[in-house]
Amino acid sequence: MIRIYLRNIVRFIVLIFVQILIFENIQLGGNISPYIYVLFIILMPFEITGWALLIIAFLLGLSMDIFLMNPGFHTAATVLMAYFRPFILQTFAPRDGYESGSFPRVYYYGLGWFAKYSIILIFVHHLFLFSLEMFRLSDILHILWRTILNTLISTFLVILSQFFVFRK
Amino acid sequence: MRTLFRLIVKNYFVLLFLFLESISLVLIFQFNPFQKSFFLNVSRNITASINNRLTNIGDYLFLQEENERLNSENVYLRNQLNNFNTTVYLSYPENFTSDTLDISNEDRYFFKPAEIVNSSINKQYNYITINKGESNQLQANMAVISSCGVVGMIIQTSDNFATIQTLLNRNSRVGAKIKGNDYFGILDWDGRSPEYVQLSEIPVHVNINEGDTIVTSGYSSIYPKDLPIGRIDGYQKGQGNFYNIQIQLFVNFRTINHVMVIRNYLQEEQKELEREVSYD
Repeated sequence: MIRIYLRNIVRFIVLIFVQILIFENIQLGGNISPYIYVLFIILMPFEITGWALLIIAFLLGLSMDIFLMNPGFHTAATVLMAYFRPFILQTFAPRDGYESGSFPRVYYYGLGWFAKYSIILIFVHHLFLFSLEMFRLSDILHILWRTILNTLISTFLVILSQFFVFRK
Repeated sequence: MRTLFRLIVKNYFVLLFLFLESISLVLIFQFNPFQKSFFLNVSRNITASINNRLTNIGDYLFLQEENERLNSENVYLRNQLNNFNTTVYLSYPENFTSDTLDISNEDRYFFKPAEIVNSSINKQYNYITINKGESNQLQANMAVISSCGVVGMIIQTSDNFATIQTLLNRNSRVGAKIKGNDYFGILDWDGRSPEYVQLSEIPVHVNINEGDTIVTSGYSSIYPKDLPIGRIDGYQKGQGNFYNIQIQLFVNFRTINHVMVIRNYLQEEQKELEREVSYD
């Protein structure tokens, strides 16, 4: 049990640093800004209770905001994403439910399941984040384009992590 | 009372979600347009010192390119010096006609070179961090330029670092005019492309052409007059009798890494005077 806590704390810190030091420094074009730190919420165990998930998401978003200078945006998006997670897990649950001792990873439930699950969560996060940032109805097409483009990139990176980092 | 309590326990997930979400929304709307001191201080002190180290590595990789650029700037400056034998305050690239501020302005502005340790172009609110701060007499509201044109203004400083709000920031507003005919408008950014900004409030009866140069108007205490910003790339009639003008920036925010901070010794005096007038 303690190992799981410890592993998650390390993962929290590492993901934030990877996001800030690597992905925030890759400036490929005006529209490309993938956020892979949401992987932390995606990988939380199935058994986690609702309040813990929301508060962890709040802290995760807040730590991102502290580094990215404009407070609130990432907090709001990450909390919304955490709110949606139980419903999406329920929708995609296998017939006999999730096995105890398993985690939401490609290794346990296959690539198709994981891709469906993560792309919806990431889409929710990115759509809300970019809408808040731009905050103008006339920019709606631009918001959608940015959301779709970055959702695809982030999901690709998140799935890639399943084959290289979180294999088991 | 019991029923209410039971209702809260039953729906705690939704209620907690709404609670946390409203905290974040309050954060967004409270802090964004204003000076966000405590957030900025924490983030700048941590990230800037790490980024400072990363930049040292990056500097070596682009050393040659930077050297060539500095060299050509040197040659250009030396030529200017021969031609005018007066102080040249800014070097423009070849496609500019050279401008100097008049002599009375010579003592008014002071230029401080600085190096960028962190920058972004892919956000809606883009900032640059530089490696000079209060210990180098930098303060908020100082203009920042590169050798090509306006970059932005300082919004926050710590001992050794300063944060610049670039032109590519949705909160940025700069007074700008069309070089030659002196009609002035307001320059802001629509958040779409890091190469283009928008100029508004130029009336439609003004004769403008694609390729016209846009410079700062000098009507604020922050930016001196006639700093180059960009050139007109396209325009159309917008709401009312005003143009919406698309401007291609001279500064390439993707590759920028050395800037100059302009210190205006008379800024305080000008602000004071303007404040007194507006109270009367």
